[in-house]
Amino acid sequence: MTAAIAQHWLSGGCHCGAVRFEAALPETVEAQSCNCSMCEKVGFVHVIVPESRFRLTSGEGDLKSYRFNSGVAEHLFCATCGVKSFYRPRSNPDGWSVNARCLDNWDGLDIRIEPFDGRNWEAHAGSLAHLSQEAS
Amino acid sequence: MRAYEGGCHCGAIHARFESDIDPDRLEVRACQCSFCVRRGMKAVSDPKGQLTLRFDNAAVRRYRFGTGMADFLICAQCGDFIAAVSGDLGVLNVVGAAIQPFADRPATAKVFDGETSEARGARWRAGWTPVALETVQ
Repeated sequence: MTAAIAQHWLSGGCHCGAVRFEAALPETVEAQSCNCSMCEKVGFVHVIVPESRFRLTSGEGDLKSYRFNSGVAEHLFCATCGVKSFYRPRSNPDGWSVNARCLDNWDGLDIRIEPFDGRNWEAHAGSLAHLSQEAS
Repeated sequence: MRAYEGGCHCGAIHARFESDIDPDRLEVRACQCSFCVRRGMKAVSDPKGQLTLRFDNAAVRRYRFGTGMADFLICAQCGDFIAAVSGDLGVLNVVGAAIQPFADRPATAKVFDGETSEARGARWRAGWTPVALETVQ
């Protein structure tokens, strides 16, 4: 049996302030650093959450979408400052991946970052699937 | 000079960095400002080198903030941040442009909070790279 972990809504956003979001996260945040061609370029630190633990509070109309390769992932960035603060990941299309670097308390965040081998995505993506499952 | 090439994810912006300095001696820096931290930016520059950025003007967004002294060049299509440019000087984001061996190297954190505009301009003139912007149709 897994004990329920207390979660708190943390806010974050892009650099210019147009895009703002909130995500419900535990005291110690578990994150992944992916080495694929896309994640490395934007310095994305993944915190994957189920649909119910993410809400966009402003800036829906400011988001630009970018897709490549399989086209399943929807990479979203602010049209003004270019910052990718969250997106719909291919590994977890039923949830969201929030960029820990874009959380307002990034400097003081209690975070554990594990490497994820996105260059061999097919072999490893399954290990992330549970992260976007809703608590039963 | 040694040349290093890279660019944004979708290929709309091409970056070429040239330097005579041994790559092991080129410092990789991580600016700690609110923008660069969000991007995981790592900077490399050489005032005696050359940075050449080639792109279609329509494919690039120039973002300004803070003192407004520099343009942050962002691909309008894939969102990748490639370089900051101020006049004829620029600084390359080796992470955004995926330029090795620098992108994978640990970076030295640099805090410039509270710096005056004069000091900032002097620091850029002493350390940033001469930049050429080549726009294509």
